[in-house]
Amino acid sequence: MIFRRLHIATLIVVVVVSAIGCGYREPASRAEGQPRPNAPIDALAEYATGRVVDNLIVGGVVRANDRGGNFYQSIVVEDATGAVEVQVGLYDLDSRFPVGAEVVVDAEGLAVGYYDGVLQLGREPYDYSLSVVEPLGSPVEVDRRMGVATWSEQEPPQPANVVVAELTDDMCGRLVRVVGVEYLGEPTDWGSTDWGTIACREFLSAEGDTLVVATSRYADFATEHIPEGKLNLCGVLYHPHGGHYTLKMRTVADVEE
Amino acid sequence: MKRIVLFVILLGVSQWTLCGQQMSDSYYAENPQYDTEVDLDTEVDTLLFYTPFINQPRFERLARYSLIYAGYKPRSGSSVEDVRIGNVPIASPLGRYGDYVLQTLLRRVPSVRTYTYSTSQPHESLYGRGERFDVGISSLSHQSRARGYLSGRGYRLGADYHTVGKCENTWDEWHYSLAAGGRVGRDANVVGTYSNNAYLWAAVEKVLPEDGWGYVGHLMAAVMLPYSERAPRSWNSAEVFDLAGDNLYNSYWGYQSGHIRPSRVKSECVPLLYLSWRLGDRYDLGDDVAVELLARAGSRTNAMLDWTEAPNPQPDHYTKLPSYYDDPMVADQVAQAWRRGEDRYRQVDWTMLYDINRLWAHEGARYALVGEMEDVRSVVLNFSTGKGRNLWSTDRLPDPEEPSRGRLNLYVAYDSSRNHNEPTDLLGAESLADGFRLYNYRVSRLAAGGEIGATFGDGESGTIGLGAKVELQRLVYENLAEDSRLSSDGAVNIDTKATWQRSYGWNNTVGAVAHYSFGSPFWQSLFVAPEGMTTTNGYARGHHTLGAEAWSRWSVGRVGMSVSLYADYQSGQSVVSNFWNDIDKLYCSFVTGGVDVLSLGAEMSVGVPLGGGFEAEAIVVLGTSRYTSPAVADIVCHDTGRVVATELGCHVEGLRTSSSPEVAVVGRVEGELWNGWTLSVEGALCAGSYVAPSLYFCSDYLLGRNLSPEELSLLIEQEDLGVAPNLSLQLMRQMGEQWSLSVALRNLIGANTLYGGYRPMRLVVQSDKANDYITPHATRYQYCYPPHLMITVGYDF
Repeated sequence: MIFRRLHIATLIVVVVVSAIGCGYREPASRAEGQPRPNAPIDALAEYATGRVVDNLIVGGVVRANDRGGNFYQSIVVEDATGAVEVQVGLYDLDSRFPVGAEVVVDAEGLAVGYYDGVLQLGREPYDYSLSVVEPLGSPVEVDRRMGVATWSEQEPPQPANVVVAELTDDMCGRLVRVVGVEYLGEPTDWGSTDWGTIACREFLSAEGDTLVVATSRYADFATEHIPEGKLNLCGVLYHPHGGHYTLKMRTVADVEE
Repeated sequence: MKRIVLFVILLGVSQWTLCGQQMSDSYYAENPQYDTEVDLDTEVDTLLFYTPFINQPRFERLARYSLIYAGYKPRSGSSVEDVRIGNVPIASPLGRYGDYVLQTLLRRVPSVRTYTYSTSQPHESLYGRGERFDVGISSLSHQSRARGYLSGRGYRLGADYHTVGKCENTWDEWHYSLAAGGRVGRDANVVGTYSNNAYLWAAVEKVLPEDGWGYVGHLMAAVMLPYSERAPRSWNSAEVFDLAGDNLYNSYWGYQSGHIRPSRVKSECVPLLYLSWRLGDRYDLGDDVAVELLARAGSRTNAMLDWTEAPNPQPDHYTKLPSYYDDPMVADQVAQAWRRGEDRYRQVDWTMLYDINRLWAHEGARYALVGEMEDVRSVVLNFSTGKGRNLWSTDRLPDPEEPSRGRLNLYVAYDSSRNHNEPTDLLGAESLADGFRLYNYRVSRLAAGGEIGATFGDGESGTIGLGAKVELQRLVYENLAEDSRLSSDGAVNIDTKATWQRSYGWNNTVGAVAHYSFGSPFWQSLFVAPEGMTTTNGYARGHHTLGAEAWSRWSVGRVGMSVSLYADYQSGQSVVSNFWNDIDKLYCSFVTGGVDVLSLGAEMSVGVPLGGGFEAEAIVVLGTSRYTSPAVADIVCHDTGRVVATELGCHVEGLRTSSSPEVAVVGRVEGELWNGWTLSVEGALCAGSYVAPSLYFCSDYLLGRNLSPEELSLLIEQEDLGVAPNLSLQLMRQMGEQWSLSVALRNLIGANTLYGGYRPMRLVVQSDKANDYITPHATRYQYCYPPHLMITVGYDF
């Protein structure tokens, strides 16, 4: 009887140990293997309306992404010298490239152009395309060229306050915070439009300067009503040729009453 | 005599492809939060499957063809399926998943005897099945045995130990039975799968002294601790198989720190306690009065990747495949990454999931392994009296050797199934982000019922059997997350059977059985949308089943033949499917009522001795199951109970209800070859397998839109899975008292044979200003194994 019990105990131990799976070791982050930038973002301007032919790796802090639905499949990366909007061409960029993360981009072979005053990076546009650049579009391409190098749980530094009159073309592509503007049109929301997919709302400063706020009808806050009174608005600055300075907000949190 | 436990060391047979136990699971979900539950889970504990035979009850008959197919999965709640320990039903109709793990492991306990319907009869019916596990110990001979077995490279390693004995030197007569066993195994053909299980069994029986009436009392207590864990294999679209270049591609795994990690794991441990007091003949367990208690408590978990506000992690999601991209350059880049074998794209990218969780550590994990859990509690108290060892009524096929038998069962049962989901691995994070869909609800069932059956007559003039079962039940649904409660009105289940059988001569029989049942709907699924229940109650009614089977078996000389015919009509069934409504962007329940199905089937077999110790058998199985009339459905929002659409016609008349082959032809030759070697050769051909339709796809909700002929065809057409051949052979030998060897060559002509297919209830919806264009997601398939060799060595000690 004792021997039998020993047999059983041994068998049970072996079987149970065999059947129990081992835990999995946490994998190393891909951030550890990211290359370091070898050029500032403003170096891309030299290749505007062409291709980057040199080994150019730029990096910066993500200032805007698709979180609020207003930046469709793109992210805006900014460093001390400038900013660039990377046309990624994929969904759910907020999870991979959150605002505040430091991102590196291997720009060699990519096309560079200006759209409404903002430097854009992507693939070469097709002959028939009206776009300045084409989105990267391919997860394989995105993984090869882009990655998060570092990130912090701290809020990234906020831009300095400016008034409309202080806006310059150098600020295009950067995150700006425009203070003291007011919407004086008919009560409406940010994104409803009868034509096209972008709604433009004109705001006036106390000095009478105009700031346009552009919102996609697909943005999360498109149906939010525009508050009355003086507002402080945060967003990425654009300057369409011959038009007013235009602000593109990221989320409804960019509106301060 | 002392026995020494030995474990066989792995044999070096790495030059062959060796295959182990295999699980298949089609619990597919593009987004696990919004499952399309297609539970075609099958398990084979000892033998391979992935043959052309889909696991449907009427093809379980073919389980006796050990090379081609084995194993089964009886679903609870069916009126023609009945699985018991003693006289007590095992399975609860509330269970989301079948109890096949327990049942499979019970079969491995030598002191548990397994009876199927009419084990004393030569005929094994097509028309439903049942199984009974009998745990009587005192009638068994005393023995101890252990067995180990393995296939090469550790793909299948297992052992069982069993002992039955009697305690000596005690005043009362005590018997005991102990057993333990387990197996571990991967799969040599499908990467990322495994199946491990273990069990512990202990039973003790006290035989009381014989009383003045000649009866002997038996007190029995038995405990079964079964554990199972397995990682299943995926079902994939044709495009994915083409990209992977491998018919056995499995998308449910990825590399993590150099190790293969499955993204889906099913596990369960639902121990069982069985107590009985029985008064009857000492050894004939069929004459008795018995009081039995069966209790079970445990949990089952189905863990899989879930996510919120993050990219879909499934490598084969349609948005990650080349067909999704309009830009041909992008499409080609993705295709090349697959064909180069870049696991970052072909398989789950665990590193990316961990990286994103690190980025969002302050808000919680965006990816996690979330387990859908079912906590099972069940207690059944059963009183039984009668003559005859078999199931609740008479045998459906009465035993002509035992005329005038009968049995009465009375029982009360309580079942509780708490369903909830919890993260099982936060993938490096400390907490879970908002946005995960968590639920917590319980469905409880209180039931009381009685069963009575009797047979009359003798074998020569024929025996008649009659049986009936009535069950009353009350169900309660509790949403534990929202503290709400809903109870059903009392529901009634009724089963009736009438059987007749007559024998002619020594081996010729003819018989028939007629069956009628009324069954309550599966309340668990309906209760998930409790508010919706009040508006869809018209569908939540019971269904009727009327069926009949006739058979004949006879011999001409040494040739044995049999013919069976059956017909089964189910009327008014309720079907509930939960799905992601791509049109309204809601998680919905598709509640269908008035589903009528007609099933017809036939089987013909002939067995011929060939001489020289060889026998041959051929069998032809025909069967079809089709909708006979339109059904009516509602679409209910799963979260709020709001009725999205009502009184939808489902135009399914004439469509096949399952993908089981309608024609199967099997031939087998077996016999002793030479010097104790037994050779078995089996060939099979299946045809008439069609992908089962989705009632949603056939509903006015989609068909009533302005669809092009092409869109219509994609929705309602039933795809033919083609002809599936199979050829296998096996050599076996018992070498002495301890060693056994089996060498099997399987699926010799099934290299590119489809095992099965199903269609997810998902749509791609594209809109322009004028119209919506809808395209169903691609059909998903699994392939049979390619030709392969399997060597099994067994050692009894």
